[in-house]
Amino acid sequence: MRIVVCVKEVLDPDAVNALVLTGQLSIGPDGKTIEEGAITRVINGYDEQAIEAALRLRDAGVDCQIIAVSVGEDPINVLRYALALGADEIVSIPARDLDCLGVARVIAEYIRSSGGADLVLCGRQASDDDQGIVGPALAELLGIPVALSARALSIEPDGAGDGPALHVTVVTPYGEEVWELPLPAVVTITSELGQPRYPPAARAIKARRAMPQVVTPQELGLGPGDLEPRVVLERLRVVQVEGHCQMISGDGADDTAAKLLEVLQRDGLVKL
Amino acid sequence: MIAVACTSAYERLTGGDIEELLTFLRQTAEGLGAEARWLGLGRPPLDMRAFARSYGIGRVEVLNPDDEDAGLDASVELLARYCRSASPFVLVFASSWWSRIVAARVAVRLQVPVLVNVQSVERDEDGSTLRARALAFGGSLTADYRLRGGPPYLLLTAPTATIPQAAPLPSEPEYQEVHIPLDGTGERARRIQVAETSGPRLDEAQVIVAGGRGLGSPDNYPLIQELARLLGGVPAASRPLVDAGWVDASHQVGLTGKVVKPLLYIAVGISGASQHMAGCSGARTIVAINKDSGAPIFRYAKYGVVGDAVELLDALIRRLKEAKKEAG
Amino acid sequence: MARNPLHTKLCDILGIEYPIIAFTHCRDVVVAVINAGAFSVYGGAPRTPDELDADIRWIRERIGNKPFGVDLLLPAASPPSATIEELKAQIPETHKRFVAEIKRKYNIPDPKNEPEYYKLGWFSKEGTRRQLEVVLDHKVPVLAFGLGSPEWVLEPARARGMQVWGLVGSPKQAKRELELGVDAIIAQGYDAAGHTGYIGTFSLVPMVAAIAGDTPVIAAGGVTTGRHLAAALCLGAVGVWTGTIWLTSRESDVDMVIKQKLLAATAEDLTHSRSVSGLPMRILRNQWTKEWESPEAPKPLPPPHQMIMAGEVMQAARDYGIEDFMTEAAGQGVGFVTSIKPARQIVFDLIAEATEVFEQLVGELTITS
Repeated sequence: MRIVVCVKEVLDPDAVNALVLTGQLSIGPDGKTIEEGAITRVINGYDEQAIEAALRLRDAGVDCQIIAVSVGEDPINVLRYALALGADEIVSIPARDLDCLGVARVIAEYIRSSGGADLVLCGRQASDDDQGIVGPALAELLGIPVALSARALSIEPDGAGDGPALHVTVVTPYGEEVWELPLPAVVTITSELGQPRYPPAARAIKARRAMPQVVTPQELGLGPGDLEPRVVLERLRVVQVEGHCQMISGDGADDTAAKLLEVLQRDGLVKL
Repeated sequence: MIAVACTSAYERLTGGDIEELLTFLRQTAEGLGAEARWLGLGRPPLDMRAFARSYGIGRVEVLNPDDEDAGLDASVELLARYCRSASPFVLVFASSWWSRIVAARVAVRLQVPVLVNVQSVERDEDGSTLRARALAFGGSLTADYRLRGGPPYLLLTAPTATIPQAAPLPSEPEYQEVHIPLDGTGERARRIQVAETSGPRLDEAQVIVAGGRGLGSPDNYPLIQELARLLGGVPAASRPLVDAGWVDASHQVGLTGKVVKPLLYIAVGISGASQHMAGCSGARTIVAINKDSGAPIFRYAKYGVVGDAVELLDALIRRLKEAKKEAG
Repeated sequence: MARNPLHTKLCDILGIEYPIIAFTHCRDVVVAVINAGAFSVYGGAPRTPDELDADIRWIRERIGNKPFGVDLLLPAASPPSATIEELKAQIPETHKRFVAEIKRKYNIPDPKNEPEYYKLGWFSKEGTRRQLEVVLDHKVPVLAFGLGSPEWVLEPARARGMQVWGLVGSPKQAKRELELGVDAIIAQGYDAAGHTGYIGTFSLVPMVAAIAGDTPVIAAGGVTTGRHLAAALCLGAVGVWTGTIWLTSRESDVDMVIKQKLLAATAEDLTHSRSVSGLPMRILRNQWTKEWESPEAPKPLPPPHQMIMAGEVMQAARDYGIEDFMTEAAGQGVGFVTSIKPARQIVFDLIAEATEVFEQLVGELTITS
């Protein structure tokens, strides 16, 4: 089984948020590039979980080849990390300033040209743009079904009598659902999947020197016209929140509680 | 020029979600100088006419109203056809599991842009491109994008980005049901286990009491449940509590959890990180209880108490119980 | 085929992937580091026995069967059980006046919350005994002691299948620990954060390794990069004990203000001062340490009395965000800590850098998995 996992390198969103909270995040003179400073580039957390999802299928006995693909200016670090975790092959597709549909297009062409995929996995969204478009877009481009926000996957040998099918447990705001999809399919992974494993030492050491296979968009038959972004980032701004909070305090917890309840009762929010 | 909001039988949108979506639609339509229409796929889960009326929507169309479920493949096909025939300038969706799949797929099929977590849009000066503001980095940043290559432009709204506002004058919407047979290509993805909503729905609750890490220990979460019960509300939790296994994911409020719009939201021991606030900032009144006076949540809250979460919960519960006893 | 130089005896003893030990007061860091394939020792000294019990359970729930450690402080000379009030009464007038003057000069109010430092178990032997009971009850796999001899702990720990590690700052201390029969020695050099001895890591580690025999030696003090890890192994250690690098990690609950000071700091921004705990402690230089260096300053008191005075002011600094009086213990490697990273990334980067160093010296390492 050929499993393609899409991984993205992002600025560590926790570091970005920590700096926003302390008012220390700097956006460069172009108004849209975050100044990296103390922020590291990391593998998108949900994509790390997508790799984990593939590895769990392998652990469960599925005979598979796991290929990690990344589209970006120089995604070599995340690809090496993917290799260290357990991917069999790593593929870098150098490209810049693509929008989500452009990224999906490039990956779809790679998948088509490299012999197809039985399963395509990615994180439910990238933690920088929070879009989550690439997964379902890939499904449409490849003409295969998709399920989002999966926390568990299994291959059922005979689903609906048509050969192997995928059973996917997805997490929605209303609870969990289980979907059955024929293969090939696209599935996006959410963090409820659980703690991803760490890279074993020998793999971590070997991965350090590994060079990904590089496939250019041109080699995939995509010219600049095909990849011209239709969604273009123009400005990034820190959200400013001005509050007018009325602080309530009293003589100890009991008195404070009484005062709070009084205020809420007066506002008609609580009936005593 | 028309601006269309699309909802489906699959999504379990609440009244509040619809009100937000229709407000966004109307405001967007006004900004674009477009006519606002509402398109439903599958059996309407609520009274579309009534909502359309209050929110000033001129036309409601329901495709295949007999379908219990709005299948993904069928919906993509129906919407693609709809866009080709009706040529909406924008097609707007509420953010949902279903819409994230359908909108992306339709965008690919029509080769037009799609953007998620949209707070607002306006037409560009040249008339054919769109400017949209969306959330980024979990809601702590906003990103301004320029979209071109449409129409249609497909947009998913950011939860709680819009404050629902009924139209100044109700409209008299045209209502039309259309049956569109789709040639036998059955759904490829099949739902074999439906989500069960046990207990009162968080996203419909009027009163919510949410607990965060400031509770200190899972043993203290029952206090949140007790306070919620005494106030006639529903208990909830921030993501860290769910990740830590204190509470089931169905109670999570946040950008990747549930988005709630209660009248009263009491956040106990929650710092106010943007991912959480994206889930509850639509609440009418937020009360924050936190021992850190510098916690960001106080910027969003209407009332704040600086103090120990457990002590205050104990005190509130005691007071409410006494008051109930007095009331008889 | 080369051996993997980063797979040491310590990895086999503990059953871990990477010979890196994170010493931290933040239980999220403990969990993250252990789930990244390394080891972690939780600094339990500031926790009450009940809190320590809850922490251990919390950690265990998240790491499953993987091993971890707890560190407690046990100073050689500490008074018998005493209350904070009793200890305060013992502080001389000169010192009380000096501190009052600092508070006046810099507008430092009384703290809002009870000083966290008052909870330090090592205020009294009684306090530490109760913490110890919790750790023994849980059979925490590794019990480490900084600042003290674990003599009366070895037997009960052994009986429970636990390892006891001793932190030392000199070959003399190491010899004593070896005679007692500890399971590993952490040789903490002068470079380290917090309380250290006077011998530099580069000198200390080989001296301890030379007398340790089969007992594993873990190098501590200034280890913040893969280069340090590689060097430690060259000096005879089988692992490294690290602290400073975790303070700015994503999982660390250290205040952002402190994180930013640490990210900006180098070794030259640190001072080895008695003004916080009464014993020389390597921390970020700040207004408090500077005041105690002035000619008019009295001599710092021994522990715990100096800590009583410092604790109050530092708590007020935290409560009110008085940045000039906030500080943190940091080691001389702090200059290499320049970004906020997830703990997993820190572990991975240390290994990658250490491998790079070895490969620069000997060429490509082709390792069997």
